[in-house]
This record gives sequence, structure tokens and C-alpha cells, in this order.
Amino acid sequence: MRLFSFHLMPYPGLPPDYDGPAWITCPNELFDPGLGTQIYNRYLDELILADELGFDGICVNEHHQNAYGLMPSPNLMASILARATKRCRIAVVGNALPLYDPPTRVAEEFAMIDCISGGRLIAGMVVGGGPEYYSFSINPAQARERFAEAHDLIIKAWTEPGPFEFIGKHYKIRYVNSWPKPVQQPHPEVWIPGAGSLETLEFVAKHRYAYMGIPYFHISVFESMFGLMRQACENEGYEADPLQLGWLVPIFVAETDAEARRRYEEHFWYFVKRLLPGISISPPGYTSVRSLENIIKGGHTFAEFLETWEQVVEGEYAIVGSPDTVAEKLSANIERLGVGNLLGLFQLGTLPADDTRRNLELFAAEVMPKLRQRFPGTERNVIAGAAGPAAGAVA
Amino acid sequence: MTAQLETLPFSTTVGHVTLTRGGGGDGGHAPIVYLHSSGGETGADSLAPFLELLAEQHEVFAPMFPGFAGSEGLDQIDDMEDAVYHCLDVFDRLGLTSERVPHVVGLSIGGWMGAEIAWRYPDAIRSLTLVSAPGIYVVGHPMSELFGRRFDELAEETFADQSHPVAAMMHQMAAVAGGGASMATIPFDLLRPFFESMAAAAKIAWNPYFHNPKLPKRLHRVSAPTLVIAGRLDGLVPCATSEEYARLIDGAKLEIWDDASHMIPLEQPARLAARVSDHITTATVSVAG
Repeated sequence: MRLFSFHLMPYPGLPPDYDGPAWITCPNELFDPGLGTQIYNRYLDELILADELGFDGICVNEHHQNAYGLMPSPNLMASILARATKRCRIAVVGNALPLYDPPTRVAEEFAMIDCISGGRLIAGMVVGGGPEYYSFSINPAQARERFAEAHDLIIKAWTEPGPFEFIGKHYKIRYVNSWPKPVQQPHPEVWIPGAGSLETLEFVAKHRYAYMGIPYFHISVFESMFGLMRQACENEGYEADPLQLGWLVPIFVAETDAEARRRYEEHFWYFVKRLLPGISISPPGYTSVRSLENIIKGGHTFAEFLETWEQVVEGEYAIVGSPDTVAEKLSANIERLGVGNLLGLFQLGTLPADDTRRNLELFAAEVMPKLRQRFPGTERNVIAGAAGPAAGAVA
Repeated sequence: MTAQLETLPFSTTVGHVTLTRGGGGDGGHAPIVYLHSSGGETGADSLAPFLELLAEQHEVFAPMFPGFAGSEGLDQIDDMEDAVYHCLDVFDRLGLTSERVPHVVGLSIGGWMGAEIAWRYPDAIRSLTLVSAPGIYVVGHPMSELFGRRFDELAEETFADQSHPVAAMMHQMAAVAGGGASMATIPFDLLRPFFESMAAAAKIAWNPYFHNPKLPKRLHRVSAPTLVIAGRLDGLVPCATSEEYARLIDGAKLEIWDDASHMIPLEQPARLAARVSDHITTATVSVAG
């Protein structure tokens, strides 16, 4: 089991009278740069604290033109963290490859972060969220093929001697010759986040990467998603390593269950009712029809539609309580899902700095040791790039 | 007499497409090709009354574009250029060349497609009727958003009469889904055609959004007699776009119908069929003369 602290870097200052979406059309006059200065620095401190507290890694991600997460460039955040942390892995989950043109930019920036951090980068690659296809006007009906081609180009830039020519359908580059190259060989571990698209699962299984389930659904949706992932690995002729699976979930620990809920609940509702609206827009052609059918089945459990705290608890949308409660619930779900990476969101919505710090400290002191004891082992058996199809697939 | 329509699979370079065919008894008139909108209206469905009226005098063909109504080949279409050559392939395979060069009637994106064929290959089209067609960006008159909208909002913007069966169905779907909150409550077979047709439209029209920046400087090449029809109540494609088509195509006639919205062939089949017939007759006379 590897334990990560994931930060979305949300905007906590949406005015109470704003009831529109947090995505695409959320007016940027609502952004207060003074608050921006404060929270960027505070959020970075919270990630650095996770390193000091003994987490295996910290995670940042990419979103554009929204109040949900203020990291249009997760690589800027990761480069600061590469310098400011000493020990933990830095997972960028991920770069939305079709938004980088040419995508060799990703190969370069990831290699920079891997060099600065001394080989601690986890290279996340993602198709990009539905809203980003509106914000960038990139054709969503070509999202998957752009992603696949950009991925091949990046892996090739890292693993094959340059210069070479790359002629794809979407990217044609006469001289690919990335300086720098990553410290980790043949390349950094690759993570792919996904919300249940069958094509993504098959892609991850084929390349022996790790799949991070995007949160905010009922736990049963994760269960079936990871079941599909294990099946996809079987179809590729191997058994999925738990460290190929990641579960992202909001976590809050306080002295008692009652105290935890009292301190946490309003911030959770700000997150699901104010920051999620608009996130689930699915532009045309972005998801294949066969995957859509599958995703729509679980769609009604999307957290935005939650109404009561009882539903939150029942569906395991957030793990909230005393250290004992949180340790028990996390353990039960880790076993149920068979995952080897726990990605905790320790700050959510408007959760203030002191509560976030206390949350991280309590988790590290009282929950982490129990999880470490119960789920030992942090090394992957199934490695991408070392052998198998991944090396050949980039040709 | 009502002409019979038949729907059949038809082989093209990109795969099998669904084709509606009807009429063509006396052989005295040139055929008509109907190019459908992003709504994917078909001859087996909501478009039937309009096609049947045209088929009383003409042989009528309504091919479903790749991605619509089970037509294959969307993976081989990336943009309007590909769409144009797919249409020309269909014309060739239907024998719609030389004496049988067709009249083309297109609704919305289908009209735009017709215009894109007409400037590239002026001889491939005998006459052109554009209905509610996008394709030109008119500053100050942007087209409304088609992608990611609620079904009921789209119905409001594209139908003059909200009790039209198709509009009513769109309202019903929106009501059931609670504005997208729970698509799972709608049978997926009802949603599938919508997802497929929107993906196909996005391939062609996502960016630039429903227009070709070069179209205005190409339209002078169109030689087919052209009739441009728009509905004053169209909330999706502004009438200004149709006015621009009429201005840029030599000799084009412009009609803006006060009581019409976007989906004119569905809402006013008789009136539109009569106007198309008139236009075709005039066009044929003027070409012959």
C-alpha cells in the first residue's frame, strides 16, 4: 500500500449568491487574486507537510477555467514541490495530453521535474476533462486518438535516442530530441486517471500502467470499475498488481466521529454543491457510445446529486471520523476494492488551513501506522516499460 | 397519391450508409438529394412527409451521413473536406452525374455541406436549396450553442411549435432526465442516436464552430441556382447567416419565414416542398434557356 496526499487546490471564495456552474462559464470576475496568493502558498505548504509527515507521495492535477481546481499548470506546482520536498513521490495526475501541442512539451517538462526531484516524478497522463474541450475548443471527437498519439510520442521521446522524426495523424515533428531526459529509466511510472471509460481501462492494462479511479461516485461504482480494470489486465494475459489501482477519496480525521462531522460537513457540501456543478459535461464524441452506456448506469450516483449526510456515509463518498473509524473504513474499502494506492483528499472545498493541518497530522500519527501494518509492500510487481507490451507499443 | 419511400443499406468508400429512396416514376425530372441536419432526421421517421411530397415528382435520395442512423465510416471523416468527398462518392455511386446531376436540398449542417460541395464542384449540383444553414461566421450574430445543451432548450430554439412530436419528445426526455441529472432513467436505445449524431456533428463543426472561415471568399464560385430559406424564430442559427449566403452567392433568392424556426422540413413540409418544387422548376428552365 502506498499513501498519497492529493490536493485539488480549490477556490474557496465563490460568493453565496452565485449558483451557476464552477466550470467553463463561471465568471472569472469572481476570482480574487489576493486570495489566490494566499491559497496557492497555503496549499503548497499542505503538500509539503505531507512529505514531512511520511506520506509516500503527493498529487497535483490539471484543470482549466474553473473554480474547482486552480491548477491550469500542475507542472508549475510540481516543480516547486520537487525543490521543496525531500523524500516523497510527486505525482502529476496528470497532464491533459491533447491540450499540449506539440505534446513533446510534456516530455520536456516531466523530464525537468524528474531531474529536479532526483527521480521522484510519477507521470500522469490524462485525456482531459469534458469541460476542457469547451475551454480549449479542441475537438472532443478526436480526444482519444489525440491522447493515444501524444502518449506514444512522449514515451518515444523518453526511450528512443534522438533526434528522430515523428509523423502521426495529429502531430508531425521533424526533429524530436528531448533535452532533458528523465532520471528514472526507461521512464517514470505512468498513471492514468479515468472515470470508467472502457477504452481508457484497456489502454492502461495494455501498457501495464496504473489506473486512478476518479472519485465522487458511490463505492459500488468504484468496485465495478476496478473489476473491469482487473478483467482488462487478464485479457492482456497478466494479473493486475494492486499497485496498478488507485482510489481517490476525501478523508477527514478528528478526535471523535461527532467532532469530525461537525468540523467537516459544511466544507464537503461546498465542494459537491458549488464546485462539482458543470464538471460532468460530456462533449460529443469524447466518450465512445459503448463506454457511455456503462458510465451513465453509475451516473445517478454522482456526488453532486447527494442530499443527505447519511447518503455520503452509506456510499463512502468521504471517509470521516475518529482515527479508529477512519482506519477501519479505509481498510475495509481498500480490501473491498483491492487497491494498492490510496489517494486521500485531506483538504476539500472550503476546509480551512488549521483543520487541514490537524487532519493530516492526525492521519499520519494514528491512521497511517495501522494501514502500513495491515497492507505492507510498496513495490510493484508489474512494471511498465521493463518488459511486456509497453515497450513495443510505442513503435 | 403518396409516393412510397424505402430505406436500404448502401455501400460507399467509407462503409455502409443508410439511404432513403423514393419516387422517380416518370423520369422527366432530375433527382433530388436531401442532406440532413445534426438532428439526424430520417426518411423512415420525422422527415417522411417532406420527402414523400418531393417524391411525387422526383426521385429522392436521403443518405444518412456516417455516424447517423447506423451509417458507418465516421472514423474516416475528420472535417468538412472529408464530408464533401463522401457526399460526392455517394452521388457517383447513385449515378447522380451528367444528365442525372441532382438538385440538392440541405437542412442546417446539411445545407452548409451542400454549399461546400457547390463551390468546389459547381457542376455537381443542378440547384441548391439551403434551409437554416450555418457555415458563415457573421460578426455580431454568432450561432447559439448546440453541444452539451438540455434537450428542452434545444427544442425551444429549433421548433416554432413545441407540441410538434419531435419537440414534445425532447421536452419529455429533459423532464425525465431532470436536465441531465439522471440520464440513467432514459432507455439507452433512445439516447444512443443522439450521442452518435452529436459526435458526428462535432467531427465537422466543433472548431471552427459551425463555419468555414474561407467560405465567404469561395461562394462566388457557386453556379447552381440557389434558394436560401431561414426561419425568423430560429434560435440556433441566426437569420443573418442566411442573409450572408444570399449576398455572397450570385443570383441567390432569400426567403425569411416569420412563423418558422430551424427545423422547417419537419414543421412545414408542404410549404417547403412547394417552394423547393418551384425553385427547381425555375432553375431547370433558366438553365435550359
